[in-house]
Amino acid sequence: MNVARPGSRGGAAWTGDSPLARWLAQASGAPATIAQVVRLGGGAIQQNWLLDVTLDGRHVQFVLRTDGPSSLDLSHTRAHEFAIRKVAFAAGVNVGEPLWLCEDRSVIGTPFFVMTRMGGTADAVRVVRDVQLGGDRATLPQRLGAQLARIHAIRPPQPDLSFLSLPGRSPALDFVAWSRCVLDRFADPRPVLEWGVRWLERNAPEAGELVLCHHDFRTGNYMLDESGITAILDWEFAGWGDAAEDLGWFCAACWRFGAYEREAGGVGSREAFFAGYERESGTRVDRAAVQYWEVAAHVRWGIIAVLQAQRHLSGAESSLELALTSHLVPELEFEILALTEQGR
Amino acid sequence: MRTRPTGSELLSTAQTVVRDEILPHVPSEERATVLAIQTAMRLAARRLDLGDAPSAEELEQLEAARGALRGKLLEYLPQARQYSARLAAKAIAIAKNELVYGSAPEREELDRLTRLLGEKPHLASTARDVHEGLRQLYVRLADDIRAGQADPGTPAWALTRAHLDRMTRQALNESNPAYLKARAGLVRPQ
Repeated sequence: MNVARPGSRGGAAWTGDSPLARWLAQASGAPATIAQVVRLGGGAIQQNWLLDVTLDGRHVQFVLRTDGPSSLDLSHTRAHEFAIRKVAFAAGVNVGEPLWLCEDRSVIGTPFFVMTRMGGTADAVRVVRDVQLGGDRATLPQRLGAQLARIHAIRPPQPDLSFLSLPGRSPALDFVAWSRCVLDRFADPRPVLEWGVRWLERNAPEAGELVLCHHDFRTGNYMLDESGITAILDWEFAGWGDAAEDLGWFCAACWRFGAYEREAGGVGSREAFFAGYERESGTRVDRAAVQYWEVAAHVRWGIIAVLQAQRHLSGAESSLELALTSHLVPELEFEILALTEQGR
Repeated sequence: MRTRPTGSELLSTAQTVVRDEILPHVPSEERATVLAIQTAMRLAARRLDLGDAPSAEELEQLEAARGALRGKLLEYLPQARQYSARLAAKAIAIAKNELVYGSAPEREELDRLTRLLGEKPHLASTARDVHEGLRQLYVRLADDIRAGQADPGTPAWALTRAHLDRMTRQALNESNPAYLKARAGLVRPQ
C-alpha cells in the first residue's frame, strides 16, 4: 500500500480536525477523528481512499470513493453509483455497505461517498494464479455466477434508480449505435472494430428481459480473501440491459489474464460459472447470446482502450499506462476476428 | 482524435517515467545502468522519428535497457514504481519492434489495400506519406464495412477478412508478439 503522495488531492489534508472529519461526525451522528488516509490502488477513473477513523471511540476503517483527475463521460456520478450500490447491497450482493453520500464540494472538493471497508484483493493476476484465494477454488466460478444472478435479480422499475435510462429498441442495437458514435469521433479509423460492429448489427439477438447489468463484472473487479468473495467492485457503468451482456463480458478472452483455457474469467470453466448463475436465478443461460456479447465485449473494451489512450494523447492526463492501453487494441481485434470467423 | 501513440511518443513518455519515478530510487552504483537506459531510449526515439534503420548494437542496448527495467533495477523500487518500470520496459519493447520492422509492413499493406479497394496506386515516398495514405484507405475500408459492402456473400468478404487478419497480425508483431503465440490454438487451419 502506498501512503498518499504529497501534493495529491486528499491524504494528509483530511486527517485531524478536517472538514472531512466534521462531515463524518455529522453524517454518522458520532464524534469522529481521522487518524490516517491512504490511497488505495486500482481505479484509473475514480479514486479510492482508505480512512482510519476513530468513531465514537472505536477504530473503524472506511473507503472513500471520489472522482479522479479526469473521468470518462460514460461513467456515473458518485451520487448515482451510491444509489446503485445501495440497491445491490439490499439485494444480497457482496459489496461494502454504502454508508453516506456527500455532494457538497466544500468538504473535499468533489462529491464522494463512504462505505464499509471489505478485505481481500482484486489483483487480477493474483486472483487467477493464487489458488489460496477465494475459498474452495472448485466452486469459485459457481459462486461468482450466483453473485451475478443476484445483481440480475434487480429489475426495473426501481424508484431509487430512476436516473437509469431504459434501452430503446434493444440493448444490442443500442450498443451498435453507441459504438459507431464513438468510432466516428476517432480520426484514425479502426476497420477491425468496424468489422466487429457490423457483425453485431447483422447478428443482433432478440432483446432479453431487462435486468440490472453491472457492465464491468469481470476478474479484476471482485475481491477475494482466503475464505471467499468479499466484494463486487466498480459499479460506475451499471445500468439496465440484457443479462447476457454481463455473462459475455465475464467470459471474454480479454479478461482471462493469460489463463485462456479457463474460459470463465481465468478462474474456471464456462459451464461451472453458468451452473452457479442458473441455480441462483432459476433461469437458463442463453449460450448463443453469451457468445454474441463476447464479440461485443472485445469491441467495447477496444473502444474504451482507445478512449483511454486519447486522454493521454490529448494531454488531459499524461500517463504511460494510458498510452500503452492503445497497444492492447490489436489483441482485442484479434479476438473479434477469431469470434466472427464464420461470418454467420 | 488519434487512436494510438507512435513508438517514439511512447519512448518520450517512458523517458519521463525513468527520470522521475525510477532514477531517484536507484543507488549511485547503479546510476550508470539508468544512464545507459536513457541513452538507448533517446537514440531509438531519434531513429524512429527519422525513419532510420537501427544498428545491431543499438538494438542490443535497447534489449539490455528493457532487461534492466524488468530485472536488476526492480529490487531498488517501491511496488508502485516497479509497475512503472515494467510499463517503461513494455514501451521499449514496442518501440524496438517498430524499429525492427521499419516502414516495410505499412508500405506492403498500402499496396495490398490499394488493390483490394480498387483505388489508384499511391505515390507515397516517405514513411509519413505511406502512413497518411494508409489512414485515408482505412477511412474507405471502414465505411465499406459499415455499409455492408464486405458482408458474407459479397465478393469483397473473403479478401477483406484476409486483409484484416494480416493487418492485425502485423500490429501484434509490433505491440505484443507473445500474444500471437499464446492464442495460436485459437486459429483454425485455413
